[in-house]
Amino acid sequence: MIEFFTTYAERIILVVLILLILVSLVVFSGAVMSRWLLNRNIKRRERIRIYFGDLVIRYISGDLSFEKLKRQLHTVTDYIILLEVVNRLDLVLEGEEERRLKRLLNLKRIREYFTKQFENGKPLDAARACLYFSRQRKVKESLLPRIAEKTVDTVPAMAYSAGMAIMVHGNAAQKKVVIHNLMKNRGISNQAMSDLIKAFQSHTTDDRVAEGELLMDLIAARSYSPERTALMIRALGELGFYESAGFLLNEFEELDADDHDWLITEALIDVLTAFGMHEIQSKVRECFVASSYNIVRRASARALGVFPEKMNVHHLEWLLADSDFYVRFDAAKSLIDGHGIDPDELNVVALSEREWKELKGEIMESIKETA
Amino acid sequence: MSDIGVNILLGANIFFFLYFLYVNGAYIVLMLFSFIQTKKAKKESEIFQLSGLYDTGLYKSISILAPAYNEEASIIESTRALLNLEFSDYEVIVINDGSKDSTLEKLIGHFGLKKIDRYVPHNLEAKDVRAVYGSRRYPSLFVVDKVNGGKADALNAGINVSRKDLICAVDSDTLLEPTVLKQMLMAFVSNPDTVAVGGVVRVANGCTFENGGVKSVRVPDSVIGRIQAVEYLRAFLFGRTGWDYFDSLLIISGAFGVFDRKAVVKVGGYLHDTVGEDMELVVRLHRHYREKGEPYRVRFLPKPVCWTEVPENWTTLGKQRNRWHRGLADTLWRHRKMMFNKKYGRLGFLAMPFFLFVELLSPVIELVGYVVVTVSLILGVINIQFAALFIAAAVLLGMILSVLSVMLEELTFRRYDRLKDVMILILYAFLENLGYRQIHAWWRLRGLFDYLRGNKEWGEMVRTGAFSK
Repeated sequence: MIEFFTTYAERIILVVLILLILVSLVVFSGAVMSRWLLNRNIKRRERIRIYFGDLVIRYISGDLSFEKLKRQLHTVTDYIILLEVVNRLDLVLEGEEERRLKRLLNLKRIREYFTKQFENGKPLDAARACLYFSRQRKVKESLLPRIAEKTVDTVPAMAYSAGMAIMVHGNAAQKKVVIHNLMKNRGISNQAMSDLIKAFQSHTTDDRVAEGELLMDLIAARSYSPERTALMIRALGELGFYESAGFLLNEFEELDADDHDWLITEALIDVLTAFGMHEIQSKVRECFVASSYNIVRRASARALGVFPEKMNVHHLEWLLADSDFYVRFDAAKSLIDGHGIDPDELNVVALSEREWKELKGEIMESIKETA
Repeated sequence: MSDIGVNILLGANIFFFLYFLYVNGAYIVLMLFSFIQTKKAKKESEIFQLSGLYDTGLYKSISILAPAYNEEASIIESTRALLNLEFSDYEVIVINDGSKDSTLEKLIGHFGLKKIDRYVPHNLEAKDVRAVYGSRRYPSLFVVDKVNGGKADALNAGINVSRKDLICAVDSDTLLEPTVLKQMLMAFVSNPDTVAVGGVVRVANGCTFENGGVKSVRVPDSVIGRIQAVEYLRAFLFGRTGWDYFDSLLIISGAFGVFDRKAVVKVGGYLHDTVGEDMELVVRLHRHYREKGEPYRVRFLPKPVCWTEVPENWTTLGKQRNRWHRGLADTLWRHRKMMFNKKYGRLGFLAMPFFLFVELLSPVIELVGYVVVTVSLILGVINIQFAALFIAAAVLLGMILSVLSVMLEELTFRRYDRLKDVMILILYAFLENLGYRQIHAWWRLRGLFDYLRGNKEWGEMVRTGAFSK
């Protein structure tokens, strides 16, 4: 082998070198050429985008008919750019303009494209198709069970998009199953879950009872994470489902004073306070004003400001000496706003003059902001 | 000279030649797969952007951890940039790691911070937290004041304070683009088993910035900055993307990485006694999940970008590279059990040996190679034509690989909008092989020796003020 290398080494290296010189020439000219080609392509797409942007705006404002706009669509690029334009406008339009825009989403070629994407087995493509279905005015009934099946997919984007399509087009039974599937999916963020619940609220044809009862069932099942449970409790509050107050009060009473989850406790105190459930006061005073979580103490301070009982004043004054600035802030604000106590008459002996001045400054700023 | 001596020298030359083929062959393979992976990632990203998935609330919540030690000059600016990110559910946790200057006072004064009693579980070992501060005006900002314990300790303290699903560790000399979090978190949305994601770190020197975002992307003005711009492109666009294809990514830059908080807590957080805590954590995550047989994914995305200030003087750059090499040596030594161990699959048979033979030992082999070739030339064992041709081939191949990474950037994300900048990068891709490469090998060789001597110093970083331009 050594002999082979000593004999042919120079020749081998020379061949390699020539090859590399050729490759580097190709790479160098390729770099220049690719920039030129890409620039040309980008400019072309930009031209088409401006053209279709203008056409779509004329169409949704009623200056151009649907048929005339349709006649301008020829190539795949045209459709892709049209979709981009529609997606962007869909975020800002409402009412009749939105309805006109949605008609564009129903163009046969676009519909066929997304149906194919849904069938192709790739989760991201199917997710994109489901999101498209959720934005359509109507979806074939026969498609809904298959979309609902996708909500058990482990890919969060897939499960979420399918869930959204069901929230918009599905029936009550489908929605119930889907919400349960999504709650269990650890990849679905709380924000996404909250958006799905909101979509449920805005697209439900039944009264809010169906949703409220479903949320109560899910909370009672106790099989979800504290984040999810807190989210559902807050959803009941946002729904204004007063019928759930008794149930939530029961959940609140069952909270362990020494070992409570701060997210669930905070949500229960906030929602029950908003529902005006004065029954919570004694437990808040006895257990939660001394919680080890500042978030729970803050919720307690806010709640005690809402209910006018005299005894709450003492506890709020006690919270004025809390180690957390914002617990002191909420307590002072509750005393001033909720119990009508003059700031100068507040018992703030636990605070130094500087601390009290700081606190008062923040409260005044907050009151000004609210006003 | 005796026949034995000649044969030894010839054998050594053949070894260096074969090593050269192995290294460059590996780079070419990485390049090819990184091209495929970049195209795939770009398509995925486009699907997200165009379908509307990008605008959903699918993203998990995230805590950005920004350790700060004596950063009074830049802390307000960098914290404000973090607060300007376009993301709905995030918190910024600045960890003042016992600064001796007025870092903490500046933060308190500027953001109107007040002491809060946030519950801090001691999930990870970290020095004592003196206080946690919050602000009503900036509800997503928290400042942790703690006893000095180093970067890893500060990050562990930040993780203890954090309450979100994910954590993102950023360096104080790093600027995140406003939309970067959404782009990074796509990986978690596409695959729930994802435990860590890295993004591209690019050179900020030469660029201009406005309102926490990059206004114009330009190559740096200095020679040393331009060479680093090429290095960063090569390292991120074809090194890490290529390893992502093989599901064997071993490094996520400490300047910019997102991790699943529970996963990091599960493996024990950042290690204190290493200077390569970023790589070490990623390797430990791999090791943990492979040993447990649990599904997981560590990903690299070529689209999300953060900008970092790079050293503009040779001494600081030398110290930085020395430290990086010590970190690499330390991680490979700690996890040597993974090497050629079938339990770790591709990591044990591809990635770890590559990092050992190509990344860690290359300065030794390269510099010894220069000596052996010189001696062989003097003794006439190889002739000058052969040596000249070989060096020319090596330089050209190095240049082609660098130029290809510049081209990869051109074909995909195109952050340099002027042809002039691309041409400058191509020129420096050629020039870096003549002198800089050898100096770089020397720094890394010293890093290896320093590691063997037990040196665990970080060294000072001199700021160039790239973000204030």
